[in-house]
Amino acid sequence: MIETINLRKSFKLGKTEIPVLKGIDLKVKEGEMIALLGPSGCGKSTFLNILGGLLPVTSGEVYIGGEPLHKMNENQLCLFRRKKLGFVFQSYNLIPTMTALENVALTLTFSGVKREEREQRAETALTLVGLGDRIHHKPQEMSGGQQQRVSIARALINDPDLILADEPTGNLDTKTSTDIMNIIEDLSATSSKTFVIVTHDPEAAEYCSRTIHMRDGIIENIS
Amino acid sequence: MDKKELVMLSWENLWRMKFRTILTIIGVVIGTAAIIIMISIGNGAKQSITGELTNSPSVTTISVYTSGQMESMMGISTTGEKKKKITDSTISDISNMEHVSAVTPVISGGGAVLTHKREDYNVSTMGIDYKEIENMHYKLESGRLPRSSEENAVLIGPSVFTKFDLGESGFGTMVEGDINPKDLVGKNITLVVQRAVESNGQPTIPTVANTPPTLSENKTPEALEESESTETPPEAEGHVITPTESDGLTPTENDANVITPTMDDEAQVPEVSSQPSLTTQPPVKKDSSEQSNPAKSETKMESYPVKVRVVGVLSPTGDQEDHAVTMSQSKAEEMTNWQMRKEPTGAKKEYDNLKVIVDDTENVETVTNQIKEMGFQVFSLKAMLNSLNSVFQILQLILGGIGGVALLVASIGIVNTMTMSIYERTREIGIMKVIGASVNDIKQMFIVESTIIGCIGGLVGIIFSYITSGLINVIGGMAMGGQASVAKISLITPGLALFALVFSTVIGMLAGFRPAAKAANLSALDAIRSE
Repeated sequence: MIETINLRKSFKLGKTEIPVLKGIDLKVKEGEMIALLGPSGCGKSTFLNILGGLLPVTSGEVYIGGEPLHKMNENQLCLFRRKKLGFVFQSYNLIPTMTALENVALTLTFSGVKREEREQRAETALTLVGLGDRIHHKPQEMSGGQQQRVSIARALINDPDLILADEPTGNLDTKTSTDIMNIIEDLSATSSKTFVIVTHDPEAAEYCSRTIHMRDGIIENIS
Repeated sequence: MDKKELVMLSWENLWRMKFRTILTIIGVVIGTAAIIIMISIGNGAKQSITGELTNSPSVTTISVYTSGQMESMMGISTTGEKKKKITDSTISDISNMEHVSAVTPVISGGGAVLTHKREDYNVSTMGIDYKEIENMHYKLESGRLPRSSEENAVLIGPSVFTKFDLGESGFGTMVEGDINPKDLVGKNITLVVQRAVESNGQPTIPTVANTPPTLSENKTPEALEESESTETPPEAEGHVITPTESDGLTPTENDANVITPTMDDEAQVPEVSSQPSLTTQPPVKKDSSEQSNPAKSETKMESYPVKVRVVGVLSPTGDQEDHAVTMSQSKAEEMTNWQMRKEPTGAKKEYDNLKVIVDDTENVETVTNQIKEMGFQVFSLKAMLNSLNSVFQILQLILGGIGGVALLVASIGIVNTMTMSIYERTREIGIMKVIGASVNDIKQMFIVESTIIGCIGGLVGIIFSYITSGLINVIGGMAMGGQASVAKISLITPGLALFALVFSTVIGMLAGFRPAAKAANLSALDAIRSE
């Protein structure tokens, strides 16, 4: 599902280049649930953003579902994300002026799905994450855990092959974190979707089939 | 993303920030309304000035002058090039042209005095060929057209008794005369022309031998009536010389140096009013002439009365007939010849001015050009209307430009709103890009949003303009008196409204381009990280 070959990424800070990823080679099979674990600044979020097509690579190759992300332009990446990817963020990234239903359905708007179908599918997805009774609430009327569940529903709505989660439990208390990880584990178990979860919470990593430990831009070990 | 969804999404986006959207729309409303109202005022002015002229019969009339005449009228000295003269053959040449329905010489008199109900009215006279009068597109308010044989029949213009009053304020106003011209229809009137007596003070030999002059000098009303029957008998060779200075013996309201009785409406002298010719005037009463003769003065005026019968009143033509007494060519020639001391020439006649009536407005230009090629100066109301119209077009452009400034400011407002909206919605744009919105989706979304602002602003602006225009017309109409029903100050045509709507929509769209491009080029990752 995912294959990276000697993936490198560096950021320019003024005139100096700061290498963040120093050659990452990784293969992830379909249906796997992977945790990326490591201290702050080790490059795990950068790696995840590259997998999501949100950052261009400096060198190396990235294939997702066989498609070469490193060769795609902005528009191709948009289409790719629309069809194949789902995102879950630490800060939820819901549109504050839209209700839960509208937030979830928005993805389908860009795919050209009709309104009734959009809303029906969004409602199904919200019910799946246990928010069937809160579909008309706006984000600020919901708790952090509920907001994160809305964002999971949004990531699922376009039926993606790969779901990328950047510290999904980072802003949540322990109990809510457990709830969220349970939902993700269930989804992983009941579908063939691949999950890559960035976290620095070892407990969250325990839900995953493999844990990749990163340090200073390289993969330290895989357990 | 399909178009309908795009518009829906943009609409919802605008609705989510309704306060700012509404403020921006108000800006566009003001801009659009400014353009519409400005241009509508230009429209109204154009309509009120040209509209009346366009519908007047004079629009098919061409005036022909000998070349150089127009220049000398305007004070431009002409070079000594040979002037082409208007003769009877010119008239027949022009009347043979295609589309020409009537040609007549115009004999413009130097003005005559018409006295009615003890008031003097200075009127101008014009003589035309009565054989052509049927084809001259004259419309009558009352009465009938004179027949070609009726030498003494005249038409009077609707504004003959209208005076230009300077008033106390210094603003000139047209004052309707107390007399309704219609009252004169079917009645006989006397027109009096005057000339200065030649400096030697000797009575001059009348140029028209069989037309005796009348005397007239500061008469009391009684004397006025009396004088109707006191005209110099035909056999009296000389003109009665009437001094300009009053002798002081008969002070009256008539301080003008010469007055003549003009109206026979008292029917005191029926035998006179029924006379078609001046040759059979009743004999003069000596006492009347003696009364006026002893006066001592330097400038002496002599008068020459012409008795005519009013057969009709013209509808407004927008031309010189409105203020004139229109008479037969021969009668007018008789009057001018006397005034100018010219012998009636039996030979080839020359005219100063012709009137050419064209069958249709469309053909005025063709005929005008043909006559110009013959070497004459031509003036037509149509040509004047054309140049008036272009003046109004420029006026409208200027007014529209002023309104345009308001819309320009509004369009800057749209750019500002959309740009602010990007800053406010940066994160939202990032999220949309992450979940699959393409560069084009984002760009179109912003352009559609600003287009909607422009379009709604335009629509509301049109409604607002119609209301404002109505108010202007009502209030302005009241300020201008009863004329509002005739002339509108502000006139919005459907085309103008449509133009304004399209214009504001396009402005809205254009205003969205730059912000849209800016939004579309945001990095998704940077955008979702921003707060």
